[in-house]
Amino acid sequence: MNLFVIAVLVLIFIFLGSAVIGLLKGGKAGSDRMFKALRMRIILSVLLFAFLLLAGALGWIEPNGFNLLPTQ
Amino acid sequence: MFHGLEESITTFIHQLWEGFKAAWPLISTPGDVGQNGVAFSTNFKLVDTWGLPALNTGLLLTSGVTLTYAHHALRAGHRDALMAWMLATIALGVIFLGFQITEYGHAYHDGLKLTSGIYGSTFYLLTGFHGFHVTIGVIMLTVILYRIQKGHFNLENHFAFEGVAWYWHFVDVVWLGLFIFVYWI
Repeated sequence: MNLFVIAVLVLIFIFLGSAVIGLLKGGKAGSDRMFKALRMRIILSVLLFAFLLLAGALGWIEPNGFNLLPTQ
Repeated sequence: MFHGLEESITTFIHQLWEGFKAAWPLISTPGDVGQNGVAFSTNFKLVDTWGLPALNTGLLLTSGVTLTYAHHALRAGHRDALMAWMLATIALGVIFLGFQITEYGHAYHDGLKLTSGIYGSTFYLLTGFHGFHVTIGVIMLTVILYRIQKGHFNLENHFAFEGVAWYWHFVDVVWLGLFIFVYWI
């Protein structure tokens, strides 16, 4: 499960990379590439976030033990 | 011979620094005994991952969605929609920062500081550094909104908008990474 989450995160970074290449390329083609890449990255990010919440709710994954915070 | 040398060094260290322990000084975690030998707080428990961390992640991801709609509106030449989506993006960024400041207030009030062991330093380093970038992003988005209002961009010429948009998406992804690695994996 962790590998799947990391793989999707890596994919999101690849789309970010593709977007910055489009940005630097410039012009209509570059702008199109950037927009499509950023759109894909936000879709994947939202899906990954939803998956994490769902997987946590269903008990597929457990939050780790590093999240200590003071509480009242 | 070496045993004698080791003993001499130990004696020497104890004479210089009584109570010295050869350990990384920041390895204590909240609830442990602090560096001065006093527990800085005993009132700690696991934070609810579904609470503020998830809420802030949702806020930033939503700001990514609104920015994508703003980007689309710019490319389609819909100026009013562009300004509305940009305003929404900025507002979400400000709300995110507000929640983070509130959380810092609670954490600091309860004794979690940069000096509170390895957790305190890591927590503030990761979230603080990211929060700083979000602050910069909000300022840049506000400047872009001002420039949109001034009519600086058109369908062909909007590099500044796309540069700032990419930055915001990057900051967004970094937070998602923090959320995953700090709270889940």
